[in-house]
Amino acid sequence: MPALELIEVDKWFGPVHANRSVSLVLRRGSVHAVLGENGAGKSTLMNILFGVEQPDSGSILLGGQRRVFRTPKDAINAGVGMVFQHFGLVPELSALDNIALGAETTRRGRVDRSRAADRIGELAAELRLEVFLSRRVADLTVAQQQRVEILKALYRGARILILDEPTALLAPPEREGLFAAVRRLQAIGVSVLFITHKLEEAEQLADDVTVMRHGAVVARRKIGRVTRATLIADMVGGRPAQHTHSERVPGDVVAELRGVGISRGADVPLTGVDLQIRAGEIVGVVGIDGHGQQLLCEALAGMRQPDDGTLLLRGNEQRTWNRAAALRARVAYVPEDRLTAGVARHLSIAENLVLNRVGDARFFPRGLTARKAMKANADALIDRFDIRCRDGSQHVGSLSGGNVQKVVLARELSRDPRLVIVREPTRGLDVAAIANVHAQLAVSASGGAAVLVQSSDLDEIRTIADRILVMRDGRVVADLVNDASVQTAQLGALMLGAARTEEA
Amino acid sequence: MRVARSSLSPSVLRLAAGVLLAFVLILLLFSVTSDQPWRTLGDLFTGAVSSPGRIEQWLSYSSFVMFTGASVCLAFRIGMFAIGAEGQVLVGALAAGLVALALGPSGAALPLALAAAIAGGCVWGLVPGLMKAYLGTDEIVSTLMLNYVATFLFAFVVKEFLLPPGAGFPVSSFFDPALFLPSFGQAPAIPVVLLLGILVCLGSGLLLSRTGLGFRLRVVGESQRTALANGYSVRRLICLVFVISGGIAGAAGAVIGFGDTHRLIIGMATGIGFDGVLVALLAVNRPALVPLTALAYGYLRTGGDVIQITAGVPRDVVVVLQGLLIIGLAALLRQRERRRRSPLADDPVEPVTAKSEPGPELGASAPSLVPSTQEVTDVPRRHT
Amino acid sequence: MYLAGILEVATPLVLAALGCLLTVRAGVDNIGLEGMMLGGAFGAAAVSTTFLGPWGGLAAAVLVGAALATLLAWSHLGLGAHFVLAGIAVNLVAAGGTVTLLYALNRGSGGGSNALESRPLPTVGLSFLDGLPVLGAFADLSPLTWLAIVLVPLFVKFYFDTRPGIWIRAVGGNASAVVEAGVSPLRVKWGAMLASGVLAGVAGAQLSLATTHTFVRDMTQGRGFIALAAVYLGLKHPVGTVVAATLFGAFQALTTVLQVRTEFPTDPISALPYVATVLALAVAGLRSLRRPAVAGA
Repeated sequence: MPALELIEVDKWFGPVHANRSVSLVLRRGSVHAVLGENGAGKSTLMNILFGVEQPDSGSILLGGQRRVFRTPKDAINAGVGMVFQHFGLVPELSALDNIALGAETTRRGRVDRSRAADRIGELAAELRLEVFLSRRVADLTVAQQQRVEILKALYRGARILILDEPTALLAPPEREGLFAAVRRLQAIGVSVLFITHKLEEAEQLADDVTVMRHGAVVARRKIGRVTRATLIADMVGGRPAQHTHSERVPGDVVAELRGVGISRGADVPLTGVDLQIRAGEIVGVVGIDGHGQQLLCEALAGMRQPDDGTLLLRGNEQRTWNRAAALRARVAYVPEDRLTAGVARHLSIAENLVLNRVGDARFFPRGLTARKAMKANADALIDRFDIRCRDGSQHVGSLSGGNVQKVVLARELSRDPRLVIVREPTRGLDVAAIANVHAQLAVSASGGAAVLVQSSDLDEIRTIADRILVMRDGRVVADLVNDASVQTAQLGALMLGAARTEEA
Repeated sequence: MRVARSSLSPSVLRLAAGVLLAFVLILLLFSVTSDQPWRTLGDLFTGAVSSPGRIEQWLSYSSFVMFTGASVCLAFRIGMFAIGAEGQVLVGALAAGLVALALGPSGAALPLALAAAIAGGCVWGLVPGLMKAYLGTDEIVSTLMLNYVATFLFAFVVKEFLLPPGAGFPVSSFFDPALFLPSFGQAPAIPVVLLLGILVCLGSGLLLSRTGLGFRLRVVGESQRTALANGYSVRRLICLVFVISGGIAGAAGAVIGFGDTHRLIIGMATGIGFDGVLVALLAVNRPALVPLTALAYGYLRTGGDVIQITAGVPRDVVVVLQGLLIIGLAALLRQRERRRRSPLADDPVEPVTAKSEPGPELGASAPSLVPSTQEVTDVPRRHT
Repeated sequence: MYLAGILEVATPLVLAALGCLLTVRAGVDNIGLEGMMLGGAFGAAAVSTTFLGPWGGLAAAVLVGAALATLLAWSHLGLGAHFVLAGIAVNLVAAGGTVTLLYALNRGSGGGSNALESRPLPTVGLSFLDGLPVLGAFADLSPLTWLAIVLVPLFVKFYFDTRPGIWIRAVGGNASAVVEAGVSPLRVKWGAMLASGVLAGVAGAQLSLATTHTFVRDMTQGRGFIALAAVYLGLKHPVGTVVAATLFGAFQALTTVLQVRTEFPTDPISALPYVATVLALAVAGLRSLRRPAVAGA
C-alpha cells in the first residue's frame, strides 16, 4: 500500500486553474520528485497536502484511508511534515525551541529542554543532521536552518516528509549533506516527496518522478528507466513550434548593455551581460527562476541601477538610470506581479491608464487632474485593447486577471514606447486573454518598438519571440534566432545547464 | 472567501445594534450620575443649540476638529498610521503664540503667526516622515512619542519664558486683540474659523482627488510597488504627506489660539488630535466629508459641556462614547474592506504557512490596520 | 537616599512595561496600556474604601485591567479594528469612564468629580534594615513594589522557559510557524493582552493605593506610553525593558524632587523618555539600512 495517494485533485484560484486533476502516488519508503517549472502548480499541490489550502475536488489518501487536512495541524497529526522553501521558523527562538514548538514537554510548568534535547540529539545523530540546538535560528546558516526544519517535522513524528525546493538556497556541499540525510531518512522508512525544478536533483535522489506543467501531471517516470532527454521534454514541453514568423525586420539598436552586472542584494548576481535589442524585434528571455532574468528586466526598465557596465539607449550612455529616467526615455515596463506592482487596485481604470503620465500636461495640466481627458483616453484604450468593463470609472480591482493585464498593457503600450520590458505577460490568464496579449506585443513591435519578454513559459516564448536569450547563473548563455531549428527541449537543456554536461 | 459572505443587511443590523447599545450605555451612565437621566439625555442631544453661545461654541469646536480630521485623513489615505496630530497641534500653537507675542499688534503678526504654526506642524510631521521613509521606523510609535515630546516642550516654554508675572497657573499673556479671529453676525456669531476649517477639508479633498500630487499620493497608498514601477519618488511622497498633514494640524494650533483661548494655556488642545482620528474614521477618510462628521461630533461634544452644567454630569461621558464609536467604526471599515477585496487578490484569512518574498515596500510592513494574525491589509482609507 | 522613592515610582512602570512587552512580542503594540492603568487605579481606589479594603481594591484593579484588555482584544482580534484604534478607544473609554464613575461615586457625598480618597495598602518592610545605607530603602515599601521585585525574575523565567512564554515570542516572530506547530496565534495574543491588562491594572493600583492615597482624574499622565517606550528602548528584551522602565522611574523621581525643592524646570526631564525612544528608533532604523536599497527613491 502506498504511503500517500492524491486522487484527481483540482484547485482554482479565481479564474486560474492551478491544479488540474492531479494524481500522484508516493510509495512507502521511496523518494519521489515532483518536477516542474515555476508556476507549474507544484507549490499549490504541496500546500494542499499540508492543509494550507483546501482542494476544490479530489482526495488525499494516507495509508489507503481518505483524509481531509483542514489545517497544517491535521497534516502534522497524520504524520505529514513539510519543509518550506522559506523556512517556517521563528528567528528569535533557539533551534531547540523551534523544533519543540507546540510539542514541548514541561516539568513543573517549565519547559523540559534537556529531555527534548536528548530526543532531538538522538534523531540528529541517527540522520547526521547535527545542529547547534541552543543557538538562535537567526544566527544559523541556511543549511542549518533547513536541518532544524527537518528535525522539527520528524520530532512531531512525521512519516512523510515534503521538501519544497530544498536546495534552492544551499551551496553545493550543503546540498550533498541534504541528499545524504534524505537517503538516511529513506533508510529509516520515511517517505519523502520533494519538489524541485532541477532535473539533476530528481535524477540523483528520486526513485519516482512526477512531472507537472501548467497545473497538470504530464508524465510519471521511474528514474533509471528514463533518459534525461525525455525528462527535459516532459518538463518544458515538446510542442512543435507554432511560431508564425513575423514580417518584421529589426531596425536600429534601441537598447544596449555592455558588461552589465548587478550584485547588490541579489541571490544570483547578474554578471557581464552584453546585449543589443533592436527596434521591431521581440526578444524572449528564458531561464530557470532566479537565474538573473528578473534582474536583467529590472535593469533595462530602470527599476535598478546596474552596479557595473554601461547601459545605452539609442547609443547614449545612461549615467543616472532609474525608473523616472527610463520613463522619460519611453521605456515601458509590465511587471510580473500585475495586481500589486502593475495597478492601483482601488483606483479607476481611467486613473490606472495614466499612472505613468503624471508629467503629461494633457492629463495633469498645471498639476491638476484633467478628468475629461482621462475619460477620453480611457474610452479610446478600452476600445483599442478590448478591456471588458462597465466603463472607465470601474475599479481595476474588480476586473478579471486578463483585463487587469490589458489595462497594464494599454497604459504601457499606448505611450508609443521605444523599449518595452514585459515580465510573465500571460501567467494565470485564459486562452483568449493570452492571444490578446500576444497580439498586442506583436503590434507594438511592428510599430517599431523593441520588445523584451521574460517568461517561464517556453511555449509562449517560442510562439512570439524573434530571438531567444537563455540565462543561467546570472549570465546570458545563449542567444538564438527563434526559427524552426530551435527545439524547446534544447532550450530546456540550456536553461538547466544540461547541454554542457552532455557535451562533456 | 468565507468572509465575503456577510451581505449588507447583517452589517446594517449590526450598526443598528451598535447604536442601540451605545444609547443603553449612555442611559446607564446617566442613571448613575444624574437624577433625571432622560432629561440629561435630551440635554445632551439639544445642548449644542440651546443658546447662541452654545451654537458658537459648537461651531468653533467643530472647526478645530476639521483641521485635525483633514490631517488624519491625508495620512491614513496614504496608508501611514500617523497619529501625531496631537503633538503637531501643540507645536503649531506654540509657534504661533511665540510669533504673536513677539510681534504684538503688528498687521503682519497674524499671517506670520499662522505661517509659523504651519511650519511648526510641518517640522513635527517631517521627523516621523523621514524616519518612516528612509529608516523604515514604525510611524505609530514615533508619532506617539513625539506627541509627548511636544506636550513637554509646550509646557516648558510656557512655564519658563511666557508666564506673565503673578499668573496663578501656567498660561502666557493674552495675544493682542487684533489677532483674535473674527466672527460674522451676532447671536449666534459664525466664527471665521468655521470657514477656514471647511476650506481646509475641501482643499485636502481636492488635493487628493484633483491634483497630480494627490493622484500620486493615492497610488502610493494603494501600492508602493506600483508607484515605484511608474517612477514615483515613493520616499519623498511619504515624507510629503507627513509634512502636509503635520502642517494642517499645526494650523489647528494657531486657530485654536487665535479663535478660542486667545493665549497659550497648558492643555489648550488636549485630545483634539484623537478627536481628529474619530471624525476621519466617521468620514471614511474622505476629507470632504470631514466638515459634516466634525460638526456631528462637535454637536455631541458641546452637548456634553451643557449637561455638565444643567445636570452636573461630567462631560467625559461623551469621551466614553467617542471610544466606543472608534471601535465600532474601525470594525465596520474592516468589514467593508474585506467585502471589497477582489477575488483575484490573495486573501489569506487563514495564516499562510508559506511565506511570500518580501516586496520592496518601505518599512517593515505596510500599515496593515488589522490583526496581523489575519494578515489582511486594511488601511482605513476610502476607495472610490 | 532616594532609592525607595525611585523603586516606588518605577514600580508601575516596570509592571506595565513587562505586560506591554508580552503584547509587543506577540505583535501588538499596546496603546491601551494608559487606559488600563487608569482604570486599575480607579478600581483600586473605589473598592479600597468599601468593606473589601485595599486588598479588595487590588483585586478590583486586576479585574478592571483585565476587562479593558478584553475590550481591546475583542475589538482588535474579534472585530478586526486596528490595534492603534482599539487602543485609543480603550484609553478614551477609561478616561471618560473613570471620571464619570468618580462623579457618580462622589455625588452622594457631595464631592466633586476630580478626586477620590483611597485606603492605601499597608507597607511591607524589612524593618531591621532601617537606617542602613542603600539597604535602608527596603525597610518600608509598598507590597506592590515587592511584587515587582519578585516578579522580575519570575517573569524572565516565564518569558524564556515556559510554553506560553515561548509561544508569545514565536507569534510575533513568525506566526505561521506557530500555526504549523498547532498553536493558535489568536489565543496566544488574547493571553498576552489579558496578562498585559492584569499587570497594567496592578500598576494602576500602585498609583492610587501606594504612591498616592487618592485617585485623581487622568492620574496616569502618560505612564502607559512611557511603559511602551521602555519596551522599545529596552530592545524588546525583559531585562532591557526593566532597566529602561526603572531608569524612566528614576527620572520621574528626580522631577518630583526637583519640583518640590527647586525651581528647576522639570518638563525637559519628563520629555527625556520619549526623546530617548525616538532616538533609539532612529538608530535601530539606521542599523537596518544595510538592507538592499529600493530603486526610485
